[in-house]
Amino acid sequence: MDKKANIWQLLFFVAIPLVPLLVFWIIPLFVSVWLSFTNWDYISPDYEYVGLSNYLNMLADEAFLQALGNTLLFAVGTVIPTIILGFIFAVMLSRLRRNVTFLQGLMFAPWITPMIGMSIVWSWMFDPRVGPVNQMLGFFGLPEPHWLTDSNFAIWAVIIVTVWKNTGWAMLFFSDALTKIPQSLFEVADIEGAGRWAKIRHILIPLVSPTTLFLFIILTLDALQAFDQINVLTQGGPSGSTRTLLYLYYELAFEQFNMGAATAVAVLILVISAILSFISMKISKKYVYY
Amino acid sequence: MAKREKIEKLILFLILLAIGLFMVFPMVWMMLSSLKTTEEILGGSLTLLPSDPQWSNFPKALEMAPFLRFVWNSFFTASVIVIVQLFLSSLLAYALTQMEFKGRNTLFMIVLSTYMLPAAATYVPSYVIISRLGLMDSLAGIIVSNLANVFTIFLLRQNFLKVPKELIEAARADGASEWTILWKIVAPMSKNALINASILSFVLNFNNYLWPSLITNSEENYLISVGLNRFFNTQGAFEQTFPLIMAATVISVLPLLIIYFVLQKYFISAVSSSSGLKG
Amino acid sequence: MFVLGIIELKNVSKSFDNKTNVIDDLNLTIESGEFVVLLGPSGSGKSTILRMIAGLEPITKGDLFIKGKRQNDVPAKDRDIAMVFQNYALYPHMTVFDNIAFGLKVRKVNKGKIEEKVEKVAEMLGLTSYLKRKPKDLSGGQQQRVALGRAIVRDTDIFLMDEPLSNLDAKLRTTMREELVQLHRELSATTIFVTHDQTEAMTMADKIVVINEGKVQQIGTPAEIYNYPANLFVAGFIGSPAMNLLPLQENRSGFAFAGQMIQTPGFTTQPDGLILGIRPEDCKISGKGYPVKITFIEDLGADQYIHGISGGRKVVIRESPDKRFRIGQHTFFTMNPEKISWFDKKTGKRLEPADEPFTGDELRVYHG
Repeated sequence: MDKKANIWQLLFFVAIPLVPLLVFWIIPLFVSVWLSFTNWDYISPDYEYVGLSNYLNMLADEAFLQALGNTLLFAVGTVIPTIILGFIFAVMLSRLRRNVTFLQGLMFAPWITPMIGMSIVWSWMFDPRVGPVNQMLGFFGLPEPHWLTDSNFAIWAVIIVTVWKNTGWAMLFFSDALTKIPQSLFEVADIEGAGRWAKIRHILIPLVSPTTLFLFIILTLDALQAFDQINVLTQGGPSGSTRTLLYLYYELAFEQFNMGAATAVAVLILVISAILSFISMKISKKYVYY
Repeated sequence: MAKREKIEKLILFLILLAIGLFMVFPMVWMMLSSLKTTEEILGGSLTLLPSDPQWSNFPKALEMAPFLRFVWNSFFTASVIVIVQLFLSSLLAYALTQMEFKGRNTLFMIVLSTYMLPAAATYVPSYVIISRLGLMDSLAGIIVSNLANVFTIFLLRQNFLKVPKELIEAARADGASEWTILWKIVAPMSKNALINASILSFVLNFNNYLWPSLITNSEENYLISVGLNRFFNTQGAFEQTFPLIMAATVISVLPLLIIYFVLQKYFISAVSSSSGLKG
Repeated sequence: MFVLGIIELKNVSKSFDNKTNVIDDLNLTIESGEFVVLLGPSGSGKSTILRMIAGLEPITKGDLFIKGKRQNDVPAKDRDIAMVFQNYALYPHMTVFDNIAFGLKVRKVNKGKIEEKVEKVAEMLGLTSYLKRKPKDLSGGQQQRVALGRAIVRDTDIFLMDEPLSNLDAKLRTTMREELVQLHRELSATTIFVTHDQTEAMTMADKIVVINEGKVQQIGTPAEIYNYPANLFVAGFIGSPAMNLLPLQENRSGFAFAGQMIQTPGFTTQPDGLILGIRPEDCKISGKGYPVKITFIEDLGADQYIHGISGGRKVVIRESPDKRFRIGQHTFFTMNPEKISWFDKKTGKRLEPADEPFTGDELRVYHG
């Protein structure tokens, strides 16, 4: 039986820690929703309620629709390779006995580096003239695109950097999930006559599916919030080809000070995130094996 | 069979080593480039190693902007944030796991529901709040606005739940206060969770960019990423300064990278532990 | 005629670190249709032997033959044997049906056939109404049956079982013991069953292989192992309470225990010191014999075990429950001379009396 708390204890243990959470998370979230129904411009003290017009304008705005499409492409383009590569690396690592931590250490290193700094490095690596990316491609006789200035390639450059940074992280999650699968399940599969592929398909993949789902949700939420790499590499360009919803929000809010329109975009990101996390909570309950 | 397996493992190791080296290649390339001359880089040859290491690139970069000050700002704010976060999150996690009060579950559900929401959605109102509090363009502003960390609350709550109830009841029977129980029993028993939460939070706050860049605009208050990006934006257009930009980037990346390679085991277990939070 | 066993291990050794052998020069022949129990304390290497037969552990040295073919380099999946694990190793994400069907599925048996077979096995094990459930919704006993079903459905003639009953509660274990013996009779598949539980071994086995420290101590029927333990380890390990093992004093005229001279037979080999082994049920409290001081009385209802000290050694004597004894009482006990086992004190090996020549058929006792 837990102890019944008195008022002073509640103030100390609950109220104080809740202050920053309230002031910088919960209240701002509600204020954002409220602002999205106004035309506030940050500078003037006046504002008017404009109803749903921020949302309606948004839906009619081509820049918004482009950003929505870019966000979708960016999310799919980063999440799926990150999960697949992370899984493959983890499975390969699980077959080794020695040097595992060393290899994990190399693969995970990108995650701890600052995205800004490494994006600056990548912006030079993508340099069409002196960057090693195109030097490598040229060496193999492959086409050498102008990564950051060609609107067909810019988003892929951003995707490559993001996948590079997150794959090690996904790999660690999968490695952890793999170690939790009892060895005897693979042994019994051996005896039952399952080959390597049958084991991966019928045992490994289904048993790590809770991790896959979790990564899918977290990486998608992460993709919705990607900013640093876009800011350094392309600043949303060329011609808006790398402007995601969040980047659009940033431009609207902190370059154009169109707070109403900006918060409307923020609310949309919020709603998408809320739906995703709700789904993940619902599904994950079904999938817990251990 | 044993021999074939050995060869197979060796091949597997070599493939994984190649992948691992590929992953750290940008860091290596950055460090090598920071030691080259401009001519060497613009020459466009495939040589990886600098022919004559230009160590002077580092003092030159430091002359152009106070990067050490930026690093210190990042280190200082991240450290304070982590300490206060741990303190506040421990209190709340303790209340959520060991104390009984009305609305405990509701409170937990509210905290839980903010877990996965994007921080960016709070920026506009938070911006106003920071300026009303008079904390615009200050390290204090960065610290105060980053104190809430739902993830840490979760990680601690989950670990506090594992502390056997009998221990806490025995301590209460001995007359220990809740404060004593938290810091003398529950927290020490959850030492790993506290370490893991600190590592993850420190990395995120040290590398933080967007929000600090919005609320700081004088050089003395820049975090490293902010200062570096401003430097890049003003100097990056000139190919001549490329080695200096690489030197500055090395300064921004190296502190955490060194800590990481020294404490690698802890970093990896920190991330693995966070994977247990699903479901 | 020399008949090869269905499973044959020849000079098999196993080492995990290339220094010490956990299995040391093991020779074992298992004949077709036998129910063989590998019995030994934990850490004795019995599970390792099973895992080598299954192909889950590589064999460091020596040869393994199954049906006359060398199997050392054959991977587990191609050995066509079934195995039941201690923790059942059921796939948590599959239904009971899919768990049982998995081995057939990966072997590309056609669907109709799989269904027919799984249903038949499920009926045999009383699992029909659980086929759609997941393992976590089953009781321990039901999970155990699914693990068995998965082995049976494969129609193989070799079953390996690694302590399959040890996770069940005592009552269920007794029922499952009977069912397994029944099943073995019906399927007549060769079964190798690993356990540390001597009751399981005694009640189920056609043949027991006692193993300790990676070496075979004795191979024989339950009765042989019980009545003619091949060495001190087997004598002490089998039977509960264990056999009384009493070192004898040697003097000029012979051997003595607790001050009483003991009649010893002549032995085929000259012993280096002598230990007398006698089971509690072959001793009797009596007015004469060896002096004993009663220290503890264990009343089990059907019997009582009298614990005492005699000649400085602990002895246990089984008595009928109607007799009255008290703790601290000084009395005497006798031994049935026909039931005495003799062991060499130095080597620990059983000694055969010279005047009762070893008759191969009745007393097939192997020395490990």
